[in-house]
Amino acid sequence: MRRTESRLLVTALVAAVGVTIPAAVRAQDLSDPQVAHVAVTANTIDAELAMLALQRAQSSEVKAFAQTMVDDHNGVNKQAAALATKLKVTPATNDVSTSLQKGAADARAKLEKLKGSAFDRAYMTREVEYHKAVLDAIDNLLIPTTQNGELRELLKTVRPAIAAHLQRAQRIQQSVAR
Amino acid sequence: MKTGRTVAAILAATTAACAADARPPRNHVVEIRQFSFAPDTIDVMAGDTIRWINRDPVPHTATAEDTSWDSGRLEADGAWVMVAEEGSVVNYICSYHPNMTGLLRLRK
Repeated sequence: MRRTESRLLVTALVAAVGVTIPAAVRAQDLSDPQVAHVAVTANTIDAELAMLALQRAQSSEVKAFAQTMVDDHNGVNKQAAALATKLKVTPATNDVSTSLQKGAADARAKLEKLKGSAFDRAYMTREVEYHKAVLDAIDNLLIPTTQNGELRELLKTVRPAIAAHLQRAQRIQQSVAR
Repeated sequence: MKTGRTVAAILAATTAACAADARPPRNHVVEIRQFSFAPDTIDVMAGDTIRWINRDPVPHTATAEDTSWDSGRLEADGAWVMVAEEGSVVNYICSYHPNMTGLLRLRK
């Protein structure tokens, strides 16, 4: 992948979750330890937001979705941690993952002000946009950038989960909008 | 004579088919791997046993779309067994990941 394309996709990913891409990231592709950190961060962010949803959501459908997010993202992170140990790779903090964390904190602050059906609608909207952005990043940034074959395979394994989450999130989003 | 040979042939074929139908129950395995059922379609007969094994790191289910049966939550490396019955011909999904689909076809 050309660096210009990579830069645009990173920008799209981060913009989708409400933060701006640091200039330092624009000039380089991510190393494998950085890809690993972005992946772990993306999983952690969504699992933590789902914990909030389990406390605040009104709809049983939204709560069930949130429980799946907790289970799946924590499950994938366990698999990623096991692979990192095996490969002796230490996930490296980078500007993308730091920006993702900031965006997640902002999103959480907004959601914490809501409750009931308003929370359900805002949370599901966020989940739809987040999973779209992550799916796009997996396809067009993370997998093409990753050098290590096993790490790339893990990302490919995770992709169907993200696609499934997106499909379910879109259905629930329509349901809670009625 | 020709008619007699034809009837005999039909009887022989029918007998063979009946013998095949009377086969003992078989065991089938469906692995849940990389967010899909493998194989995604299986042909079974009443009395056959189907075992679903979750090879993914996250929970899944095998749930009939008509809700006639449901594995419930299958943790990583968890398994669930069902014996096929008449009426088991159904599409099924993972209730957590509804884009995961499978099909049980009951053969008589």
